[in-house]
Amino acid sequence: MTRYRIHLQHATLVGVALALPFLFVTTVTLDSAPLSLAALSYTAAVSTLAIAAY
Amino acid sequence: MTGPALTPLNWLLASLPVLVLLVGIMRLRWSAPRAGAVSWLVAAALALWYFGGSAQSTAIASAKGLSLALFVLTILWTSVYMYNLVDRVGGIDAIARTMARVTEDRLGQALLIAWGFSSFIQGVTGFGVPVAVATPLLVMMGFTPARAAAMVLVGHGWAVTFGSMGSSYYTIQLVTGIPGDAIGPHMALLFAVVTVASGFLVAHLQGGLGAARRGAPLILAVGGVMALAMWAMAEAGAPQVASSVPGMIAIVGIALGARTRLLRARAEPAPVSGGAISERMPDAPSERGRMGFHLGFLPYYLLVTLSIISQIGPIKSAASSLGWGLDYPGFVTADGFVVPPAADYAVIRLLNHPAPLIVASVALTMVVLVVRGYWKHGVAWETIRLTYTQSISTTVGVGTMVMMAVVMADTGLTALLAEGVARASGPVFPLVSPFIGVLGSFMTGSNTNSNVLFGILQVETARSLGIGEVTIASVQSIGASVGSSMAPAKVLVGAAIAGLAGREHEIMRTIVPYILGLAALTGIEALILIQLIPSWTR
Repeated sequence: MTRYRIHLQHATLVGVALALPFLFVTTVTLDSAPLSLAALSYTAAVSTLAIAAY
Repeated sequence: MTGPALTPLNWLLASLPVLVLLVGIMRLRWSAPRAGAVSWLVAAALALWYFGGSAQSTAIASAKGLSLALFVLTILWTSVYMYNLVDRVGGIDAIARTMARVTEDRLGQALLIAWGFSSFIQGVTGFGVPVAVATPLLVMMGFTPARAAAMVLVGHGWAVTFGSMGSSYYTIQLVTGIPGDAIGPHMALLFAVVTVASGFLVAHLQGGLGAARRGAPLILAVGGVMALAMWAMAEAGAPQVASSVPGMIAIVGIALGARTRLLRARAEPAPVSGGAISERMPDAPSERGRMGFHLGFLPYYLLVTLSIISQIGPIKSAASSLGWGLDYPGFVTADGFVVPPAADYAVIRLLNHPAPLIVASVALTMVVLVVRGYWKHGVAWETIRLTYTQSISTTVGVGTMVMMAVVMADTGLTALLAEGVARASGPVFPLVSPFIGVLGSFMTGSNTNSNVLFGILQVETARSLGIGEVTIASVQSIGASVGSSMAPAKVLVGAAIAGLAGREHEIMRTIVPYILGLAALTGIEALILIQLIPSWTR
C-alpha cells in the first residue's frame, strides 16, 4: 500500500471522528437548517474520501 | 400518512442502498469502508431528494448512526487492545500450549480448539481473531489446513452474537428497541440448538458421521451445559459474557470429558500429541520463564468477574446514572414518517457497557504483570499502535454502514422494505428470516452490521405479520452469527493463516453447506415455535 493511501486512510478516520460533533452541534445544539446542510456536505466529503482511500 | 407508500418503484428505490452495498462487496469486491460510504451517499440522496427527508432530519439520522457506531466501536477497540496486549506479553502462547496438551484424541482436540477455545476467544474479542488464533493451533496438531480453518469457522459461529463482549447483541437490542431482559434470555434459548449442532458439525468435519456418533455423548453433555450457561448469563443481565462463559465451560468440559467414557475410545491414534507442539514451534522459549496458563488468562478471568460484579443489584443501581449518551430530537419527514425523540441514545454506561470493564481488566492485569516481572518495556504503546492499525478500516466501515442503516430507518425506507418482504413471504417468513441475517453478515463481514442493516426490517416485518417480534429479532441475530463465519473477510483470514492464500474457495466450498444448514435449522426452530407456541414467542 502506498504511503499516500495510508495518509488518506488516516485522514478519513479523523474525518469520521469529527463528523459526529459537527452533525450533532449543527442539528441539535444550534438547530440550524443551513448549518445542518453544511455538516451533511462535510460528511459527504468524508465519505468520498473513504471511497478514494479504501 | 405514516411514511412512503408501498409501490414497486418506492420499494425498489428503498432497497437501492442495500443493493449497492451487496453488489459493491460481493461483485465489485469493494472494502467495507468504500461500500459503506457509497451506500450512505445513496441513502442520504434518496432521503433528501425522494423520500421526504430534510437536511436536518438526514443529518440527525447520520449523527445517530455515528453515536450507535461509537457504542459498538468502543467494544471493538478495547477488546482488540486487550487481546493484543495479552498476546505480546506471551499470554496467548501460554493459553494455546496448555490447550494443546489437554487431550491426544483427534476428535477431542478438534472439539476443544474449534468448538471450545475459538468460541471463548470469540466471546472476549472476536473480529476474526478466533480464526487467526485457533486455526494454526489445529494445523500444528496435524490437521490439514483447509480442514482446520473450516472447523474453526463452523465451530465458533454460535458464539458471535454474544461474543466481542456482546457487541452484536447490544446492537440488535438498540436498533430494534427491544429491552435486554426480553430479548437476551429468549435469544439464548433459541441459540441452544445451534450451539449443540455446531459441536456435531465440527465432529463431522473432523471424521465424518462416525466421529459425530462417537462424540455424541460428550457433545450433548457439554453442549447442554453451554446452552444453559448462555441462558443463565443472559437472564442474569450479563450478556457480554454469554459466549465467553459457555466457551470456558466447553474448554473445561471437553478437557475433562475427553478422558472419560463420554468420548468413546478413539478409532485412530493421534499422529501428533499435544506435548509435541512446543517442539514444532520455531523459537519456542524454554519452559523456565514462560508465562503460565492462569496468568495468561488473567485479564479474561478479571473481565468475567467484573462483568458479574457489575450486575449485583446495589452496584448496578449506584452506577446506572454514570454514562455518556446524546439526546436527539424527534422529527416528521415530508412523507409523514414519524421519528420520536431519543434521550441518551446509545448510552455508554460505566458498568453496563463492556468497554469500561475491559479497560479495568487491562489495568489490573498490567499491575500484576509488572509485579510478576512479565511486563515488557514499551508494550502498552506498541499495542496501541497495533490495535489502531488493525481497527482503522473496521472503524470507518462500521461508521459509514451504521449511518446508512439509521438514515434508511429514520426515513421510513426500512419499514417500506419490511412491508414488501412481509407481503411477499407471508406465513413462511420465520424460515426466511435467518437467511436475511446470513446475507447481512456475509456481505458486511459482521454480525453487528447485519443486525444494524436488517434488525429493524425483521422486526417491522414480524410486526406487520403479527408474529413474535422478539423471536424474529433473535433469529436475525442467530442467522447473522452463524453467517458471519462464511463472510469473505473471515474466510480470507482463515486461508491466509492456514497458508492457503489464493485457495480460499476450498474453505468456502467446505463450510457453506454447514452454515446454511445451521441457518435452516434456526428457521425451522422459529417456524415450529411460532406455529405451535405463539404465546411464548412474543
